[in-house]
Formats: sequence, structure tokens, C-alpha cells
Amino acid sequence: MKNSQLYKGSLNTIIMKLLEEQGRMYGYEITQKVKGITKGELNITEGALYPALHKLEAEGLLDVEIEKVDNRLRKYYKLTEKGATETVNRLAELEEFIKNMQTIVNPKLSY
Amino acid sequence: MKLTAENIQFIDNYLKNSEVIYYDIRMEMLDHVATAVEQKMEAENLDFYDAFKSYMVTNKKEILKGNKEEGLYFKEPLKKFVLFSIQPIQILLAIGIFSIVYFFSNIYGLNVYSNYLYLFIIITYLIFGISHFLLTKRKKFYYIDRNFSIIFLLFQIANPLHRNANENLVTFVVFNSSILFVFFAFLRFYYLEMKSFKQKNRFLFQ
Repeated sequence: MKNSQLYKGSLNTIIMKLLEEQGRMYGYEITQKVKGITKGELNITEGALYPALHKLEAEGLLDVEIEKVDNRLRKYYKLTEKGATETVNRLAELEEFIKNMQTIVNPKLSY
Repeated sequence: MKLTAENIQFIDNYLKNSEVIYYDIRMEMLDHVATAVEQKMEAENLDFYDAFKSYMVTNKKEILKGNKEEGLYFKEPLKKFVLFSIQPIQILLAIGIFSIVYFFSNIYGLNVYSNYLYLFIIITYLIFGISHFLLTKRKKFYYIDRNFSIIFLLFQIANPLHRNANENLVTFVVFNSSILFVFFAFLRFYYLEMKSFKQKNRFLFQ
């Protein structure tokens, strides 16, 4: 992941935001979607994505559905009810963070 | 361009040989690699083996990181088990077990009673262990093994304590009631977790 230390803390929120918009997604789809939206600037690695998805699943924020697709099994993730509520909170927290960072990095723009 | 069943088998064997032993983790990795290879074949006009080789050269390290999940192996299931154990129905079970242990240790004395108790726990534990082994003999599942590992942890904690605990009635009753309670709560927890895992992942068991 590009500038991993800066993005690392927001990975879960990015995943949850995408699932909120798309309904359900599988791992590879998430990496490609993020790459597409950021025009290749942000590249979520497999080594960071799957542990994050499994942790969110264990916390009860994500639910899974497994389907047979093209000779193989595919695991789809979607938000649970608890996950949907948590997404709203985490997005608000992230927006607040961005606003604060903006104030610190570029004080003139914040007025 | 869609991969054939043979191509999929090839990737699966490759991951198995790279020590991705858990089927639930491997099938997700397999889908990731297969989808990436399909796109590579299409975008760069390559055949399966060239696309696969080229993809793995750059991504193997990252892909295989998923085989070693971060953090303590049993941390998440242990947290879930603790929350499960403090549900109201479990508290009722705890009171029931405490009363039974107190009643029988008063009637039969500590030594006789504790022998029967440990024999009972060992037999139940063996039956449980054999069932777990048979269930995961063909395919190993990370999720299930992780839950199973809690019982080893609990035995590690309980084992050094049991000699001191048998010294008088109060410590005996408290210790053995706790052991029985945790043991039964764990059996119920394991069964319910297995059931929900099987329901959600029925394709994995076919």
C-alpha cells in the first residue's frame, strides 16, 4: 500500500465505505475498485486486505456469502447491521480527522 | 478469459505446496490469484502458465502473507468465548454446576469425587478431540482449528492449579465448578460456532 503508515489506520473504513456503496464485494474486487477510484495511486495489498476483512468479520461487522463462480468458490463480504452503523461512525471520525489535518497542514485553507 | 478446472487445480496445488494448509484461507487466495491471472491473460494476451508465473513472481510474498494472520492465534475466538460465557443462560448453568459439585463433594468426600470428575472430563475431552479430528481429517479449516485451540489454552491454565485447589472444600468446589462450567460452556460454544460456520460455508464442505 502506498505511504502505508498514513493509509493503514483508514483501511477498515475504506473497506466498510466501499461495502456500504456496493452492497457486497469479494477481495480482488475491493483491491481493483480502490485502485480504480484513486487512479492507481492507492494499491491495497493482499497481505493487508485479507487479515483486515477477517478481523472485521470476527468483530461481527461483516457477514460472508460463499458462491461457486467459474470452477471455484468466491467469498463475498457485506456489512451486517452492526457494521452499517459502525460505518457511519467511522466515516464521521475520518472526516473529522481529515478536517483537523487540513487545519494543521494548510491553516489558510481552513478559513 | 475464464480458467479451466485444470488451471484452478494447478493453482490449488501450488498453494497447497506453499503450505497454505487451511482450506477456508486457501480457497479465498485461490479465487484472488485466479481472477488476477484471468485479467492478466486478457490484458497482456498471455497463456495461463505465463500469466500465472508472471503474477506470482511479483505477488507471491504478499499473497502468502494471508497464511499467517496477524495477532494471537486464539485472541478473537477467546474474546468471543468470554462474551458467550457471560450470557444469562450460562450463568444459570454455572449455578447448577456449582450446586451439583457442592452437593456431591459433601456426600462422597473430596478424593473419591475428584477421581470420578477428572475421569469424566478426560473421557468427554477424548470424544470431543476424536470428533474434531474426524471432522477436519480431509480438510482443515482455520476458523474451526482456532476455536478448538481455546481448549488447549484452558487446560494449560487449569492443569498447574488443580493440586492446590483440592486442599479444602471451598477451593475444591470453586475450582472444580469453574472447570466444569468452562468445559461445558466451551463444548456448547464449539458446537454452535461449528453449526453457524457450516451453515454459512456449506460449499466448503462439499
